[in-house]
Amino acid sequence: MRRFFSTILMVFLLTAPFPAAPAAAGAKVTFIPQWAPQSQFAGYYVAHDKGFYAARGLDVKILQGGPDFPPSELLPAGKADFGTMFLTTAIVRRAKGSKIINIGQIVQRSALMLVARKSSGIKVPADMNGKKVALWGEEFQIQPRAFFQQQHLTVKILQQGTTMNLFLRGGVDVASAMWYNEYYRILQAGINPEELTTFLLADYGLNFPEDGIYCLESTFQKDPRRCINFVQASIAGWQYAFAHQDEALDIVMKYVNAANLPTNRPQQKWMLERMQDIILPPGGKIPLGTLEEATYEKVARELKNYGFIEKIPDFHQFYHNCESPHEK
Amino acid sequence: MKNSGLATRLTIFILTSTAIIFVATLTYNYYSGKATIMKDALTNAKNLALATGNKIEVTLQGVEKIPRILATILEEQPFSQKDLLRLMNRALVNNPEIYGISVSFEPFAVDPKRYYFAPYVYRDQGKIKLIYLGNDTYRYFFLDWYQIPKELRCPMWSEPYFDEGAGNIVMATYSVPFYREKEGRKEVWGVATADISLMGLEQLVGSVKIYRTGYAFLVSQNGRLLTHPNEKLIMRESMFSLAVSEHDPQLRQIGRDMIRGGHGFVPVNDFVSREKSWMYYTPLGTSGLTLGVIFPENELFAGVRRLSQRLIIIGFVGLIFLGVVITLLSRGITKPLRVLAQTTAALGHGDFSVTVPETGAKEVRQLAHSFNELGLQLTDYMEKRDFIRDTFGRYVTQEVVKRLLESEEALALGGETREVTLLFSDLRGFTALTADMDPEQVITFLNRYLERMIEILLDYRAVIDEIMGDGILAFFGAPEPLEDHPARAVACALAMQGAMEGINAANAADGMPYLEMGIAVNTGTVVVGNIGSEKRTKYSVVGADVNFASRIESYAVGGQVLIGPATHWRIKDIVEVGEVIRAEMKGVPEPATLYEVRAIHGPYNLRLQERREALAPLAQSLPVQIYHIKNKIITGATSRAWITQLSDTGAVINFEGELTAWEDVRLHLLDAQGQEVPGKIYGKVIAVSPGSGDSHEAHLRFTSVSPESREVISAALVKE
Repeated sequence: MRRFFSTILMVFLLTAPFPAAPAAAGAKVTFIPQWAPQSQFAGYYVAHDKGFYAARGLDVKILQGGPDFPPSELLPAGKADFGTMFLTTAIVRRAKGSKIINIGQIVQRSALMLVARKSSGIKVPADMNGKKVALWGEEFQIQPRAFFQQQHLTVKILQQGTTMNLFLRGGVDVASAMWYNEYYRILQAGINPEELTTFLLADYGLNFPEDGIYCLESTFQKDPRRCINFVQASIAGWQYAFAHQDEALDIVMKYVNAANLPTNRPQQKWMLERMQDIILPPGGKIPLGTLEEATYEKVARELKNYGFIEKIPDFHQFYHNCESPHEK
Repeated sequence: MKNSGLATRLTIFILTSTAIIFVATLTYNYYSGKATIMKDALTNAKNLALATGNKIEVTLQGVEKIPRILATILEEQPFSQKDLLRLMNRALVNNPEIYGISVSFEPFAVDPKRYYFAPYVYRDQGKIKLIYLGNDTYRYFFLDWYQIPKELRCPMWSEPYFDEGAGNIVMATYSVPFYREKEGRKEVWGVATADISLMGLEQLVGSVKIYRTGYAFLVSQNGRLLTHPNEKLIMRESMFSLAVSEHDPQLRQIGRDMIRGGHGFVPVNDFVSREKSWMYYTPLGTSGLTLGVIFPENELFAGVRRLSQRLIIIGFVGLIFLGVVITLLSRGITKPLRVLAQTTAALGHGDFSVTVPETGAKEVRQLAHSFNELGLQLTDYMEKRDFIRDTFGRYVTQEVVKRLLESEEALALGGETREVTLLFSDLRGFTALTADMDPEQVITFLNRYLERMIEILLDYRAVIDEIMGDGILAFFGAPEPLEDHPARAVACALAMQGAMEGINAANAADGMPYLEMGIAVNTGTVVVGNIGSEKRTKYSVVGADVNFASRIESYAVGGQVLIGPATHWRIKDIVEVGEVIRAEMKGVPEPATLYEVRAIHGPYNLRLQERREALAPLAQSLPVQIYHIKNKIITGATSRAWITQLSDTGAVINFEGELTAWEDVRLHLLDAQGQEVPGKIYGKVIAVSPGSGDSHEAHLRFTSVSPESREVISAALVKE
């Protein structure tokens, strides 16, 4: 229930990483994903354990992330060299003056969705009018709010916590969920897919690309080679993870168990499969790691519309392509 | 099976039936035993769950009481922060099972300047500490323990969670929202909570032991495993994740029923051992928790399995014993039968003297007795049959006997048309010759002759149709077809005539009269078959040619073999014919040509002894008395007659009176005084011619000459 051991825990976590598989005497760098170990970060764990980082001269230490350790704060504080963030989070931070830059856009498709019980009478977006909707904070509200606006809906918004229990116990009619995570948790709480109505926001023209790899401008300027190596090794990690899902799951579960997390293999398997859906969307043409300017502009414009930012940060200063050959 | 013995069959049938009954009983016993055990297990599980559930509920209710009281007090009367803290402190001290107590308020609800107000007293290494919850990274308004009861406006247990401070301890929080009136509306003011460690429950549930590996476990409202012998599953796996891992959709269904507060007794695979098990599950009061109890099927049914295994062994031993007993018993029963079978085989091979012991079971004894009776009767029958065959065989050939014995059809009345050759033989003047003999002498005399004739006939494979006193009717060519039956019959006739010399020599030695025999042979188409009634049947011939043959015989004189034209025509190339006689016969429209056979050539190659047949004129004619004979009765006499020419076989007589051709006559030689001398001559008039004056001349052939007369004739011939 309580969070008063946060600091102690953080110290513990930061000092208890896995050693790099091949003990290479490369450059020591740290990486923090934006959440606790799970398949959402399978590519990085695989790149680490399969020695893809080491092969590129990097001695990567993966820190354990979580709600208390946002990379958006750890990076500027110099506590990690690389981290992952949602594009919206990064744009907001950038607009507020943080010197973070995107060096690789991994997730191309938004997994954010709204979930409702059919038993509460919600089958189409219009049915949500006047209902209680639980939404996560900050940037997570942009897409749902745009969606309600688009659908001309008035809803009663509640702050959504870290569990789905408010929704599961019937405290709200609608809740937000990540397709790869919370949606499956609902299924794992005994509710069948046919009992649910889902609205994947990307299906309603609200596709905000999510996880990307970030670092500080200074990190990039000091050693662009190192950044490029990190991004390319991470991409290789993802490609390997999708090609060898069982092995990738073994690696993820190793991190999950070490962190003593209340999750299970079926959950992580589902997540890895969905990550493939949103990282390499069927029919997608964008190379892994690339952020397209048009997408960036669209997301930033929405952020500005909702007052999260006042000014759209310059794309070319925000994004450094570490994937395409000319950057190498 | 078809060739197996009675003992084997009995054994197989009885053992199979017994085994089926045994297996059926065992199966029934096993399943009914299982059902009983299931029933017991269910009752057991229910009681166990009830007992465990009660303990858990008592604990939980003790915890629930505190926030309820706090909430009531807060709603009822104004309080100072100091009072509240003292109250919370006391509650914690008095309820050792509670880990921490908080009273958390809505934003600015207590102090308009304080966004967060949530005092929390908790245990820390044996001491009670106080902190105030709520800051930018711990916004308790949006945490489950606060937000859900507030939104639902009812007290409730939270979904258990890992306590982030105390490490690996699963905690649960009971939250009771409390309210205040504001602008006439009842609004949530805050939430009072009490935390407990589920470790205590884990121990309670963990202490439940069922058989050897059975256990109980707790499941949360979300289907998560809260306690389990395998710690790795706790909090990580839910009924639903296990359903996915185990590819068991049924488990998901069970899980859904569990979190909906259902209860049941269902088969599952254990989550850890994968063993087939039975699970009882039941909700625990208002906690939203479900207690599951796992019964490993192996252990559940171990008793009934062990019993069944022992029954199988006992049954198996019993079946072997039964098999031995049945085998011995049935061997005992069938042994006499086997002896009987062997004996019957011996019987079948013709040994009628065999017997079987009349011992054993009543039925077997009766059977043996009947069998022995059968043997006796068979012996008796065979003796009779042999007697009949031997006797019969004296008159018919072995072929006929064989045919009659072997073929039932042979006995059928009816017949077939066949060409056969018939043979008639007769002694000349036999009746007259034996008129003065005593009967025994007659039989000896006759049998000596018949014995020899029958012997010859059978040698030539004739069927003897009839023996009438001294006359014999036989035929050749039936029932066995003989291609050369005409030649064979003629040869047989010649052999018979040839044998007469030996018979006469024997007769002469005994002082018996000289015998002469005439034989007729004729070939013709007749009907042969079994003639008579079912009571008395004879294999015989009938037809015109039979009569014709008998007529020919009457033309034959002693020592002569006469054959009819049909026979002659068939064998004319190999026979030597002497006299040819044209005879007019009664019932035959045209005169028939008869041939006297002297010899036959070819394979038989037989010849009759030469006889003096040439008539010699007598210097002094012999006076004779001639009697007419018709149908063997003397009908009259001629007045005077003299033999003028004489031979062994015939004579020329001058006579006065009447004589007609082919008339049978009897001659008596007369002495000088005109008295008849002893002895008779029978003969047949062959031709009559007119002589000089009143006297006529007749040509006579002797058919029979008495020994006395033979002497006279011989003397007369020698004289010449």
